[in-house]
Amino acid sequence: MSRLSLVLLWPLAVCPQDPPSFARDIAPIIAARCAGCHAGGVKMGSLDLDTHESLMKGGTHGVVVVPGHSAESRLFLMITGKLAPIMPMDGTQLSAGHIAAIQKWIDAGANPPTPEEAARLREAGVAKAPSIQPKVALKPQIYSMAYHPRGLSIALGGFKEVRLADPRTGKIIHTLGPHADAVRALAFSRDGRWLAAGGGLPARRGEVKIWDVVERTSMVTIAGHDDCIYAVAFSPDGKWLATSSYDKLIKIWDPATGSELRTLTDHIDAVYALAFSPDGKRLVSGAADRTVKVWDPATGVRLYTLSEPLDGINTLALDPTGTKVAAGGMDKTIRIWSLGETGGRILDSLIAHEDAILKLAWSPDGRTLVSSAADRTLKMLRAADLGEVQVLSEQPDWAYGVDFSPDGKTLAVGRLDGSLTLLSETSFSLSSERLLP
Amino acid sequence: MRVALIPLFAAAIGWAQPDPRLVVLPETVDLSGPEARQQLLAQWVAGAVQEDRTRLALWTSTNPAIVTVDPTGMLTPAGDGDTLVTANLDGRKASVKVRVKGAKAPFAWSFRNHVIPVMTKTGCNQGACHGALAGKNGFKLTLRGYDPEVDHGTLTRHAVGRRVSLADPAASLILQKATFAIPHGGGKRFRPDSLEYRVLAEWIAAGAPPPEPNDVEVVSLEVYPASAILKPAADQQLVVRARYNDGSVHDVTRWTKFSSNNEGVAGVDDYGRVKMNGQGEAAVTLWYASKVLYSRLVVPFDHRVDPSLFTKFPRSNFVDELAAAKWKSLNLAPSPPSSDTAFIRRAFLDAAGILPTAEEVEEFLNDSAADKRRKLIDRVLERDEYADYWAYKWSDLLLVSSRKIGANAMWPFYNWIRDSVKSNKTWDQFARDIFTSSGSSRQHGALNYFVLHKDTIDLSENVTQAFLGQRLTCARCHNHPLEKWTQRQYYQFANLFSRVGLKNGDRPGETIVYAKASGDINHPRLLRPLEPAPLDGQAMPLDSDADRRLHFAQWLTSRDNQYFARSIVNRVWGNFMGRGLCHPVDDVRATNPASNEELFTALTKDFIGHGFDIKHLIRTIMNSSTYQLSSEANATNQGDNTYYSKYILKRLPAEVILDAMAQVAGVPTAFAGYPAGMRAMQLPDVRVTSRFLSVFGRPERIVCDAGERSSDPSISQALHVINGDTLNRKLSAADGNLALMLKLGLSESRMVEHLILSAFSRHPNEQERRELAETLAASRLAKGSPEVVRETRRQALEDLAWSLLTSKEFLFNH
Repeated sequence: MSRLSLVLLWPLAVCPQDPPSFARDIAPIIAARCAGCHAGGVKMGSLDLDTHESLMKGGTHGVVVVPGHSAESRLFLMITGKLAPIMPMDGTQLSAGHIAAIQKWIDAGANPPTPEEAARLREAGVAKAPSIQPKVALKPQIYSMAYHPRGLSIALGGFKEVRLADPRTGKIIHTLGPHADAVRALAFSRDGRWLAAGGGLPARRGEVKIWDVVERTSMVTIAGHDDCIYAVAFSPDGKWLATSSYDKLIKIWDPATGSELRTLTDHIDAVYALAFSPDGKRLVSGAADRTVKVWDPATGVRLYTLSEPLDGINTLALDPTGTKVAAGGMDKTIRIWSLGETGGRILDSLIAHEDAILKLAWSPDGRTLVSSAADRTLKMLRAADLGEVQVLSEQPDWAYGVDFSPDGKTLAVGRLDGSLTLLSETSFSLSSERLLP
Repeated sequence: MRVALIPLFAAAIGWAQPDPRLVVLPETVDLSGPEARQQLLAQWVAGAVQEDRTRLALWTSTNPAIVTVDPTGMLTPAGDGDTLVTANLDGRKASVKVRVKGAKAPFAWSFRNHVIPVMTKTGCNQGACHGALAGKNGFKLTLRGYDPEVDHGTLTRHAVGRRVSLADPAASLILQKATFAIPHGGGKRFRPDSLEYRVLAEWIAAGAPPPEPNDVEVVSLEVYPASAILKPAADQQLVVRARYNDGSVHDVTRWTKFSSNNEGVAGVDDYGRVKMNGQGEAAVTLWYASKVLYSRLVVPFDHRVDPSLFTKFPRSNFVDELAAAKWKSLNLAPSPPSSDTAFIRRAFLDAAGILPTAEEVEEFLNDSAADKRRKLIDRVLERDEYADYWAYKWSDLLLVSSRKIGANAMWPFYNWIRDSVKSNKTWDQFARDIFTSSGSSRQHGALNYFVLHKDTIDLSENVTQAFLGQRLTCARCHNHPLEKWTQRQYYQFANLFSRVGLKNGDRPGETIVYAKASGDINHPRLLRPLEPAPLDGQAMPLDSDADRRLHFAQWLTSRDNQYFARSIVNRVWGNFMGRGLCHPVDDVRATNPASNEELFTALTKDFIGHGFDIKHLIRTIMNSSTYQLSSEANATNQGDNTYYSKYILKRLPAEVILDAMAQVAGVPTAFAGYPAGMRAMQLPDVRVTSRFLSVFGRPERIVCDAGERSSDPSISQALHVINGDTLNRKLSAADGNLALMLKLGLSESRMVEHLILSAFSRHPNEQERRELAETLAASRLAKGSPEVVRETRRQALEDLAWSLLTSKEFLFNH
């Protein structure tokens, strides 16, 4: 992502006598010619040119700008070809005017933008796209879903909003928002007081809004990650909020203040799923890099990795005792491991579907596992042996929202087309309700 | 009156100035839907040459309420009806009928037919970007959109729908990234004000509808101009249309991928604008929606060729007609006919892999019959060595060797091939021998083919390359990027060979081949088997218990199967002419056009018409004047190694060289495990140790690819003939020809005469006669005992023979 991208629109009428300005002279060049490889999710050479601060910090080879000394600055040496490889690497060198502007700015002290300029640069990063209205009547979509721990509501993550639905009538009790983009991750705190709504702008930044469920006000907004957030989880004691993102990172935050506590790095691809163990001592993550990892959330240390999956993981679910984890994803297979202290052991696996598995949910009594998949089926399986109990096929759309009610008697299924269905667990059949058609 | 006489006068003088005319392409236009567009071309045609004058013409629409035309010749529908659009230029005009339907009809962009082509043309799903096996940055599309259903899921739903925002279309990640509104490793692919943006944005705004099973599909492409002779440095816009299975036709030029097969002759940009860079012929290939086609564009060489050269060129058969037509269109003059000495040597080597003996050469040179060449050809084709040579060639093709099947199985395999050649078995019967037999591989040697290729995938890829000249491998994982073959067709084809059963027979090396009652190969993504179908042939039901190989064999050997016939015609042609009509010789694909398509088509038709008779094909080729041209270049064709205006020089294959050396030296090569006197060309097994053969490019017969046999020069080869034993031992053998000549006491000039006749199939010229004889004679004057003199003489003769047998004139076929 780049906060600088729309700075392109700023006039570049520069008078040679004007003192060099980062915001006016340098930021547009970076946005146009460098940000493709040195910003957002891609930071080649670990060099982030997104802000003045990150630029001055440098990258793998150290600082790239030595204030006052362009001839010693790596950035200048590379754009002039004095140091290989010449930058930008797309084969077209910067114009003489641009190189001169950068040189001038470095020699003048490589000064940062003023706070007002910096704020405008940040804002400009939210690319203003033309306004195109959908031509079809669109039901509010459901990107994520979570049952309130005491069954008081079902939270539905939508586009820039979260809707709270009454689980008996299906009526929308309240709408929370605004959010930056689709809310792709939802989690209630164990005491049911807080709702964390994770989302953000894909390929730009992540955002979590923590809502007071009773007051329906937003307590904290967390801005973090370089891409949107795909999973949020409260630790059972409510002291931590874990987030994971397409940017391959997991972060742990203090939900009360929104301050970042630590970053867990080890995954090498988007991290789509998170879960805390019931005792809060372990955090389990699942990622597109085909692994499930188990961490100590207190220290951020990765304890071990489960690598049996043959393709990316989309979802995981811990059993109610927290001793087993089920994970599924692109290889259409559900695998269950036992979670040990220093390692996990695979207990069972089943090629359950004909297309990617989207969401797994473990019933509160530990007996049933439910999986939804891109093949538009929903399967109920016995957790003990992954025996198929029931299959619901011809689902109207992909279901990213699959969750059991706290009493285990109801299964809610929320789909991308906005349809929400409640299934009665005792009869394992489609109950009458077809809420929010 | 006088004005009218001028053209007559001009014709009388031979100016042949035809009246130029204006032609508008395409000839008819149907526009359906409000988004239909058609680019017209205005071609200025003067004689054989045409020029793109689209931008110079004045374009008008008779009824702008139906269709409007802009100054560049682009049509836009306005209202339903029929009208004419006319181009005016320099007093000439030409019109095209335009019919508009549904100009105001509701319209929606189709994912399959608009969104995927846009993403393919703008490069999103190319192999270097999101079409790569692992995609890029977690976003993976199928290569060039070969699977729209999968791509739709990826774009609209994977990763919790991060890429497309139905509620706020312009905020969709794919639009923001592609227009570089946010950083994108792939750069800016299109602008927000482009048609490409509009297609994607409007499709998203319509709810991002998926591809439907009943979407119309592209059936074929057409290109304008399909072929043209252009002026040097000409610019020519190409227009491409796609025909759909509902009969509709749409201009798809904008989203076609263009490439040139010869940048030196023609270059083409992304918009289909061709620039002729040089002289000659180039094929600009087009790819759209996994369909391929090409346009042939020519700038004749600017040689001054006397037209009488073409009329005087002797035409023995249709090969000469069509070859000459190509030279005429290119302005290439054919070289003169080859001499008798060049011809006899060439004919023996190309058809039978041996040199004519000195006697045979003399007899031929002294023969004064008018049809002596034709008779020579007939004689050579009846020789045993002919059968050896072609059996060897087909053994290369079918990978005959003891490596995987052992000698016990190799011999029946080889013998079946040789017997087939000897009896001139037709090529379709040859193929049927393999694909319709069952039982013992000892009784039916052909069945060893299945023993060699036990794996279904291996078998199907080998079959297509060996018998159809198609390289299908790419389509195993995605639609073939260079061909019209899809992954679906790949697995349908492979499923024809999934029931070949093999079990050990009683005797060593014997395998019983039979058709199993069950067995299928699954499509890797659908995880189920597909109906077996031979490429674009008729499918057979999955549950049929007929031998699937029979279904394949029927399609393969059908008289309608162009691939089968073209593939073998190309191989045989390439053997004689030094270059296949399609090059490489086993790459007869749609995007690899022939250097003379009319000739290729005619040869194929003639071959099929004569029942796939190989000898008939060979006779047709060898008897043509084209085959019999000299290899000496004239002023116009020094650089031509493509159009056969002269005989193309080729280095002899390893086995032929070895046998020829043995023949001239009179000393056969010893091959371990084989009887003395056996020639290299008679060996059934390439695993017979022979450093000479390996060094000179004998293939290993592991992979069925014409490129496996190499004729590249190497240091090893040079060192081998300089220092190695193979040749030197033949020359110094006590029972060889050289020793015999000395023993017989032949005169120096006799020895020179005989050696040159044997090695080069000609008499020595005056200078050679004189100087070589002198060199030999000088050795008689060595000082010393008679022993020493004999030794010196022997060495001199050996040196002479060595210099002949390592010369280019010996090692090359000219």
